[in-house]
Amino acid sequence: MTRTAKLTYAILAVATAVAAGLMLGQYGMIPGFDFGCGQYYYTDIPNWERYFSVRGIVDSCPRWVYYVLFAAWGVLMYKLWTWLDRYASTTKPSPYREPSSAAASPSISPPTAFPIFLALRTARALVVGTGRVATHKAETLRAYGFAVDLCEPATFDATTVATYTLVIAATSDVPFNRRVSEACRAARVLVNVVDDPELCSFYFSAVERKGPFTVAVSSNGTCPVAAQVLRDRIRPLLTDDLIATTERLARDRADWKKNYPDSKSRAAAMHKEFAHL
Amino acid sequence: MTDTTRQKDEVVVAGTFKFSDLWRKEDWLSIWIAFVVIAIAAVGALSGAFDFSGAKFASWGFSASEFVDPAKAKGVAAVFTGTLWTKLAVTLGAFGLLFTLANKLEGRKALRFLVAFAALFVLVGVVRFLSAEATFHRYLEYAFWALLLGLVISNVTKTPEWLKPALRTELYIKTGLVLLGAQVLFSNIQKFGLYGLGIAWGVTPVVILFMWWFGVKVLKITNNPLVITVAAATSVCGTSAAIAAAAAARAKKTDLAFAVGSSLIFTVLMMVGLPFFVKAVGIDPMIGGAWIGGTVDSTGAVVLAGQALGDVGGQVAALVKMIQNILIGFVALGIAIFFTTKVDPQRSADEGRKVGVCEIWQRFPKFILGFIAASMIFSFVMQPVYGVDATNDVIKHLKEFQNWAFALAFTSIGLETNFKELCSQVQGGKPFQLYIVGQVFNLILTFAVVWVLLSGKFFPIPTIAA
Repeated sequence: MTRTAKLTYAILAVATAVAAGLMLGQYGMIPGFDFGCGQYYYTDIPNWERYFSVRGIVDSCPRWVYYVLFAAWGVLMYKLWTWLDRYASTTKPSPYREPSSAAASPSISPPTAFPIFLALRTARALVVGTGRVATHKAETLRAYGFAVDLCEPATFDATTVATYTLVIAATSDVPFNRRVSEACRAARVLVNVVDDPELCSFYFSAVERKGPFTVAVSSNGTCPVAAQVLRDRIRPLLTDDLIATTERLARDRADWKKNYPDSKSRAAAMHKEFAHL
Repeated sequence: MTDTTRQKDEVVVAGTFKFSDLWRKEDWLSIWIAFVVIAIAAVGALSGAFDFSGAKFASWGFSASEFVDPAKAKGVAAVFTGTLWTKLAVTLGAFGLLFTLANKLEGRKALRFLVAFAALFVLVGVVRFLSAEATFHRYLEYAFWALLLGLVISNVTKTPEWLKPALRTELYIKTGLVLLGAQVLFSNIQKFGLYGLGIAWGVTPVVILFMWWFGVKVLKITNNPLVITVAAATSVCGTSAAIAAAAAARAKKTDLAFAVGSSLIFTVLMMVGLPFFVKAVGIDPMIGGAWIGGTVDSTGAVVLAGQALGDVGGQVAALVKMIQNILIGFVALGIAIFFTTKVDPQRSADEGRKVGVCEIWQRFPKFILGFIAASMIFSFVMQPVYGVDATNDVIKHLKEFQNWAFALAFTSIGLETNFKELCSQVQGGKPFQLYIVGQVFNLILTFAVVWVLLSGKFFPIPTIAA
């Protein structure tokens, strides 16, 4: 228990004891007044008209002035609240977020991988392994324009890794995978070891491509299936309408720049184009 | 962890408004129940044909006390008169019928509810009888006994399964709040002139915002409905405001119990301590009364503490508090709008969902519209047409129905609450820290505003007509 918590409970205990003592000693009561803290709303008080149905202050100020002041102050305070709330949420992640699952279970590392989209059309990649996974990875890389070399673990030569942009180890031999990983890190070559996030310097993501969009979801090596599930949920958002609008905006880019020279107002106007989605 | 499950339960599937919602959803049903009660009571009171009002136990005493009016201090036997039994029957009959009908319309089993409700009503009867004891009724509200009795039953003997269909806390709270709405007479806003408006309405929202900031940002309480419930209890008027705020922000039942509990303890201290301090320091009774009116939570405690300073103090305290009593509905409306348009969508955004207008409307606590409507009808139709006395008479007939509804709600909360769960929610005493810091801020700011308005240094000192 923290010191503040201890102090709070101490104050609370003292306050409760004092309140009970005051009650037992009937402090604060006035003869003839048969009410007190127990009457929380004005109509709870016996003969409440005596205190509340009085004329009060006789003033010349018309009633509508009260209503206008009341409404104006209320709206102003509401605005202040929303402002205060925005301010609070920009200075820390989100005031409404419950403790995240990542914080609750220390086994899952926080996401530290830097997401980038590589555009290296003539790069070379090496896939070490002979299994189905290895050939699948090779195919994926080829689809994105990589020149891929496949090699068996027995023929792997650590001195050649420096000639590749990235290397994938897809074998079930853990010590061997570690050797590949270490060789790549020494040569500053990106390396991915299948099913071993610890040995990776990059991860694959669950990908969805449609029109001009590429959506990549990563769980940072913790659970690829979760990333796939999330990707599948995003898929329906990539509608034909969205793509058509995007392509139209890209096509008319020059016009947009001409009509809205200021990038801020241009962005705002472009936002509106997507408002119907 | 209960938080996350609660959220999951409460995710409303976005849909369009259906007319059947009007008679199938709790929010609307609570409005209709309250309006039926209001209509019957109003017809009875205005025509003088019959007396439709809820039961109230006369105060009785374990021991004679100099503060108990001898005419009123009765033995236990004298409390149970024929009139009381009749009114108990009327209350049980009216609420039993209306709440059973509501359950039927919601698609629940009517007979099982009715049996359970009758048993719950007996428990609530015990609660209200205990809280009518002379000393208890002046220091503790029935919410205390309701929570205590409920907690004892649920944690010592376990709440029986057959009683559970009657534990409809939200339904009772919402119905009670719409009945409370009828007692909010907006025309009273003028009674203490611009002074009263400045003290009550000027300070209250600032204290709420301060407590929101302090709770969410400084104490980092993740349970936002709890923060706003405690803030409303501290700044507006204790239990009634806490109930309205909790319902508007859809707080957990334990949140409401915390807010009411803190208020309960500190109201006793402030009721005795503030007049003592005002007299010891030699503060002017009018300033002291307004200060008490703006800060002490419960209205009864306000009048009593103000009266300790003399008649002027008592009157000023009552007038300032009266304006705070008006605020409840508007504060609740603001909270409901804020939570449905800002907090809930933000939570959903964190979960990767977007909230549309439909969903905002679905989530909006509709009973608040009933609360405001009842207040508007009584302030701007009933009072001008039938006069102040007739309106007050109708309000008196509604009062006990509202108290029974809240007592049913608090007893249900107690019966549904696990003591362990309640303790796990304390979060290192944070809700209490929030209350204490907020109340200190309230005391300082209210005193500053009261001093500026009533010291005579800046504005003329007002005179009050009885």
